Amino acid sequence: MSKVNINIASDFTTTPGARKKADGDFSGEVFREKFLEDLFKIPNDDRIIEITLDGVEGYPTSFLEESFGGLARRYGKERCKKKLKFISVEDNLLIKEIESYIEKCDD
Amino acid sequence: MKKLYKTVKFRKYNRKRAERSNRRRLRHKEKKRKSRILQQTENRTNKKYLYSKTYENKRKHTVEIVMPENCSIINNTEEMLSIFRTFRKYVPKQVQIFFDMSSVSELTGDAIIYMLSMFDWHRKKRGQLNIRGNFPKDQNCSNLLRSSGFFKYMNTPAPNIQHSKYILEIEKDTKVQPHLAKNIVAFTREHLQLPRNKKTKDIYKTIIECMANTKNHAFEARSISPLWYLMSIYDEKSKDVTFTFLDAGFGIPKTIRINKAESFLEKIDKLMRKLHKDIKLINDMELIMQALKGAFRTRTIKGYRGKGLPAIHQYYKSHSIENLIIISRRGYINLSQKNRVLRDDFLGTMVSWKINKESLGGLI
Repeated sequence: MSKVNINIASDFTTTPGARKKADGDFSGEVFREKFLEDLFKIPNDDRIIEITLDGVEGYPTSFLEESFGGLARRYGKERCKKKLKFISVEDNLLIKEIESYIEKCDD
Repeated sequence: MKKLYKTVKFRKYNRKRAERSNRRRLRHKEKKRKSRILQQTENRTNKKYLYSKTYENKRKHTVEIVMPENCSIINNTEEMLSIFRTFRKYVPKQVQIFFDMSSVSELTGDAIIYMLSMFDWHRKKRGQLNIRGNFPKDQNCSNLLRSSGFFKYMNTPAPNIQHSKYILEIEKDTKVQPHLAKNIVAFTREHLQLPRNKKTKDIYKTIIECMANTKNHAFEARSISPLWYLMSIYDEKSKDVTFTFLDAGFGIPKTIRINKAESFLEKIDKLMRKLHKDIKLINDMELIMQALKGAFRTRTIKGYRGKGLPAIHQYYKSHSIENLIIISRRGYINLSQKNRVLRDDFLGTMVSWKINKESLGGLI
């Protein structure tokens, strides 16, 4: 099974913003559209997406929720859980936080 | 001179007339004084308002507002809010308003930011404002005012402006500005000599959450513009960094979702305001606390929204930020001391917190 690596700090930004494009720069919506949605559009694409979360100033809740919760709302929780893999050496709790956003995306 | 004016009879008549007129004038003056004192005493005993020291000169069309010695919204909330109520009262009269700050001996960033937001709001609403003022005699307060960045937004001569490496000057914007949040974190790390870790990341997140709240909730459709203000100050003596964030929107209690009973109470409050009765049935302090604790209060009615305030509360609980104070409308939340209901409205929402290396000591 092939892998796609995304390093948020080097590929996107070290300063993640808020939820929507209209909120300001480096929003969760922009990240989702630019990096994640293309990898979910093909139904039978079983590549794993490995996302490195380290090296940024911090992840606001709205950024994480819109990126990953928003992705789960569009493409389903199960598919997200199956395809996304997170790496964080700096903050272990961050992965649990993202998983909870995916799990509670429809609430 | 006419002969008549020299006669004894006329002189006697004239003296009596002058005395009578003088008595009438004094009687009127005394009556006016008594009625003013009575009015003030009544209001004070009713505990409705605090009166700010104001001198009105109707002939010169000027009003002088005397700022208190303790010029701080956080430490002297009631008095400061009464002063800004007076300011709002005189703005529509289009008089020159003079802020006498000479006696100020304690000045904090929150007061400067609130003053700036007030000026901006009224300038936008009414066009030109005629505001003058002086500097505090206290040198520290004067330096803080000059180097706070307040005068960047005022029409003032260049010599009044200073810069300090211990102050990150006031910035204002309408959108979320991640690079600014990064600069503030860098400023904190530099002065407190902290490495980049989970705690400093929480500072970044708190700032972004505040900015995002302004953009998404504080203003809604009726707004003039979603402006926020932010500054941070490093205190060399106490070795802490204070962050002050203000959005000049409607305030948390006005922008969160309320239930039917609360909506009914809000309508009564509105009616009372129209009848000039200062009765408030909705407890703003309670509403803010519920929003902080993560109660389902988002007006978007989406469960995955409205996580900003609970996240800030979480950072406080995990000791990433200290001395968290939130003031909005009539709610004053000081999580490390005591919450209270204010007598005057605070227009907007102020979030203030501190970082101290000592307090983070064991946690870094």
